[in-house]
Amino acid sequence: MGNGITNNFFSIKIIQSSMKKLSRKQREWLISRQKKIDRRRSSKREKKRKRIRINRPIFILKAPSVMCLRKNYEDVASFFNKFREQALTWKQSRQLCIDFEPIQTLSPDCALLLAAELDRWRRKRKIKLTPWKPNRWNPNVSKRFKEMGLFELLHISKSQKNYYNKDSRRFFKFITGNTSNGALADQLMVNMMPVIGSDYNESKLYIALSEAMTNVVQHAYPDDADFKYEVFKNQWWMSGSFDKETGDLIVLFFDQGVGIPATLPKQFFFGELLKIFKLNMTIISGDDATLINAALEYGRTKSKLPHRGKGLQQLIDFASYSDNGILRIISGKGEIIKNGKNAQIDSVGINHQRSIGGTFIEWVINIANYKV
Amino acid sequence: MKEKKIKISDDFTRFPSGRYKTDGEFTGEHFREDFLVPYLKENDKVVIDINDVRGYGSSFLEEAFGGLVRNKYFSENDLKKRMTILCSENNNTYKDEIWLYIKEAQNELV
Repeated sequence: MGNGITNNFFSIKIIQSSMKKLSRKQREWLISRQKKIDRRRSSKREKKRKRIRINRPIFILKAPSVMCLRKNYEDVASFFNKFREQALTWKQSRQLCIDFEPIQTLSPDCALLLAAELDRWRRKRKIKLTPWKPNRWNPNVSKRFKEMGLFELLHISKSQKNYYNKDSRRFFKFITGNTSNGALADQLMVNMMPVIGSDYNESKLYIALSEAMTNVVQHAYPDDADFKYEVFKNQWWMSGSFDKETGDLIVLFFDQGVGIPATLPKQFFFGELLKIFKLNMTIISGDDATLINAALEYGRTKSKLPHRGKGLQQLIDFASYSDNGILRIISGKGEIIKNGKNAQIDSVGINHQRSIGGTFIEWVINIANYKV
Repeated sequence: MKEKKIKISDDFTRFPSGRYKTDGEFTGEHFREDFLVPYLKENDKVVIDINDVRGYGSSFLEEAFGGLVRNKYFSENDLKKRMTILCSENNNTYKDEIWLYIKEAQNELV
């Protein structure tokens, strides 16, 4: 080979120019040798990194077996609080593992909340999320994770598992954004169409989603808010599911903002709202359900003054055109459920012990009973 | 008489959403400032075709049309003479909503 040949490829090139030209075979040998050296080095670095990872303390957070806000609100809210605490404030030297193996029931609302929190964790930490023992997950839960788009968040290969298809419910992939973007609302509806067709009032759903997005970008993430965990300003997530057996379509919307009860006192119509509903702020402070309900009712009763707070009213419209249609809003610790039956709206209000960490909106309509 | 026709779905977007320009890309304020106001200023009559759009939220319509009066660009009477809303029977509720916002904006100014 000659004197002065080193393992440095650039050195080889310089030396080459001042020496007799290397044959093709010699060049290929040198290149192959260099590649082997590089692989050995990176393998050593990777082993060192693995040692560091293995030696880091691991915190395992188990998900509840029933991930459903209707059936198990407090445990689910507690889980998500711990999730945020660990994922968004933990020290870099510790590993966090979320154990999804215990989940036996996963409702659409929790699937969307999970997508939002995983998304925030990934973006905040700028890390690649990897699944923890996915081969042990309940197959139905895996199927829902896949349909929802969580596999892509978790970098799980789509061909990895075969799933039961006995469940009549189909989940739709979540969509996220940070503006009032009608095209994204349309994208969700396009995704749903092959499964549900268009036998419902599509424009009312579009309007409901459009107004939900507009409310988020205008009110949910005020600049002067003191968020406990880092948020991505104006970020929202939407998704849906459809049950073939019952004909129930569920559309979901979530943001990680301060919540309706926190933003309401800053609205221009708040004083009028307190007077109309004879509410005493001292008494209802902390009564998030009453505040949410009052905001919705204000929009409904003041619909003839369209400049004033009609956006929330349009959230109700989509559900009210279906017999037994439901609008559910969870914001802060308050939850209200509006049952639309023959356009009559009854409402139920609950205050939970824990906040959901934002605002969650759910519309449930039955496609067969929908008055187009 | 100079007349201008706008079809929102072709000239602006099929997916209007939001009130202010800071809300998103195809908002009511955007439509008003970049389309309605210049066309109404430059033409004697403007015809606005609102068909073939996914839907119109109240935030979009109120800011686009109510904002014409609220921001004192034009009066309700002026708009009645010079602006025509073109729509199919299915979209009549939007047309009524637009004129209601214009009327209420005029009432708020008085």
